[in-house]
Amino acid sequence: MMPALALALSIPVIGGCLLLYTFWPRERASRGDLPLILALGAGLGLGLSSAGFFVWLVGFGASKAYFVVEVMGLAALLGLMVRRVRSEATTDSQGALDRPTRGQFVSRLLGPGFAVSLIAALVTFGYRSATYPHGGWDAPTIWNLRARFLFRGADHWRDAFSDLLGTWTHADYPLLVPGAVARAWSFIASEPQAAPIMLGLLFTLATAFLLWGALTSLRSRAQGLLAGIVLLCCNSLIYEGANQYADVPLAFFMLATFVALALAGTLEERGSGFVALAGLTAGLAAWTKNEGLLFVLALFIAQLLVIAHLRGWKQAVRRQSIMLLGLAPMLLLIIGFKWGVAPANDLLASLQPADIIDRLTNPWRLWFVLQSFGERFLALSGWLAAAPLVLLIYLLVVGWSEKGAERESLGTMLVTLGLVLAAYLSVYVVTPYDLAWHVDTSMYRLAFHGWPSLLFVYFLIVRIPEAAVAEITSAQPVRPAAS
Amino acid sequence: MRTHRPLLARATLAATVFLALAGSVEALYQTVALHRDSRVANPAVGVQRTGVQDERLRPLREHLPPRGVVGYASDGWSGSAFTTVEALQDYFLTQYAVAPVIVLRGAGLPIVVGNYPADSAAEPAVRRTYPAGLVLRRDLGNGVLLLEGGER
Repeated sequence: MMPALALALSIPVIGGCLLLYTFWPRERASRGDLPLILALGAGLGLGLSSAGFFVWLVGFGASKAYFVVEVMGLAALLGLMVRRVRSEATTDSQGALDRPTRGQFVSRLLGPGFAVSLIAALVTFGYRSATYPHGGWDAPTIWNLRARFLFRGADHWRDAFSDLLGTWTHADYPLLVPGAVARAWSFIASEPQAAPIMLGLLFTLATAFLLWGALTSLRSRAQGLLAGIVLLCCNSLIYEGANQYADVPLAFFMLATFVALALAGTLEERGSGFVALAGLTAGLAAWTKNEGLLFVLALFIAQLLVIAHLRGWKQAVRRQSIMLLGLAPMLLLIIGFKWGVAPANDLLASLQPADIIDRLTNPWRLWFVLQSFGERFLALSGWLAAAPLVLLIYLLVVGWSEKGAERESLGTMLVTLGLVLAAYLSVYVVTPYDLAWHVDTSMYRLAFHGWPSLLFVYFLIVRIPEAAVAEITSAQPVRPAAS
Repeated sequence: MRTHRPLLARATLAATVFLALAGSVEALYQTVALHRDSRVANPAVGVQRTGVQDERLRPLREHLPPRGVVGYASDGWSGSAFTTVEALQDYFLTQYAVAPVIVLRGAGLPIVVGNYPADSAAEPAVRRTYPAGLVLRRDLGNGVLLLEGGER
């Protein structure tokens, strides 16, 4: 059964990687971006196949024919990739982007450090999954419950959204994770618990590898390794991944959106493809959790404000249109789901305008929410000292990066994260549930959503280790990385 | 411009990596200890029960229709609310086990699932008193029962 499950999960992972590789801009020298393409492609493929599975279920019912279409798509992508590889072999390929060489101290510290953090993360994930094979409490009551309805219910999948089910099943939550699990189960016509465990592992690793690969491509090898260590050593990443919740996939798609925006910034006018990709990954975030919808809204507002400020409204509207183009397929799916399938959100349905005003004007609630968030944010990595404070000290000692060409993407990312945080905190302030209970049961996960993205922004800003420890001068030419 | 304080930068970099790895190794140690404890203890409350309960309730699926709505009876259901956290969790886990059949709290349906975990070690199902109108149709063992109710 395990080989069949591995095959079921490999098809979207390989498909996503091929899709990205085929359309990756030649200017970015594909070979240098390979780890980034693999990590981004894995999550992208899993997300798109989950969405495709649900669309097929709605349109054609439960049938194996969907997998034939998937395999045909994979074969087509393979053909396109071979064609591209051949065409590149006949032209002068650009080498990897110039990066500083590795310092001895830095490479001796960070290479083994990354390996240790990866091994520790894998073993911890394995033990957590062995202790809780059905995941955290929300897995059997929300995510895997929905996957069972979709898989076992087959043509009667709509029962998963019946009004008879209690609000505790949160039937309005988007379906990326349940869809991906149900898809894997349908592929092998069986429902081993290994499917949601493997899905959790894939997204956990893809998130860490995406951060590592993106910063390796955009900054330096050491910067990528250091960021990878910091994220892999974050307990919340491993625990939430092993919990089989949708929080790690959401964090992955938020990070993927930011990475795509940063890559677009490296290509200036030719970066439209990456802007569209950012729209697509933002859409997948919204297909993962309702919080993803907040993220999409915040992203569009932030981008409009930042680009209008830096380049004028005309450019801002143009950029929004390109991102909307990438977002459109997922947006249509989400609108269809919310409109025609999902019941009303229990939280929104029970909010009254008078109660909202009453709670918003209660300073005690705001103080409690801010204090609770601060505590959870400082503790989310589980280090011996609070990770955000350690990273703040590191920034003060090492200094800022001298690269200033990413004002647009960095500005968009920071404003987006600020808006998302403000929205999260507002939801807690106005929650109709018992505030302490709501905070206790969910805030630690919400504090994690933006952590990989925040680390990405942080490591774009902070000086690279090679430069910080080696006392090189900015006038000194940087040699290309050894191939 | 020259970068400054390279030695301090090295020390800070090393300290950051050390703090990260130490936290990771500590988490690994705690996770292994938790796993070891979970193998000797049989938790009454909490998410570790999910697998045990799912296995216990699995036989129900063979005796329920492929889809539809069934009722739910247990010692922990007072008729309007669950009396303990365990009883509420048992209800959630019953829904998880028998999906896509929908489980409604209460006994007012033709088919009612009985979930009496205490029966597995104590009272036989036939001697138990059930909510009014329910008749035992099949004892599936381990306190898992299929009851027949009257539609109200």
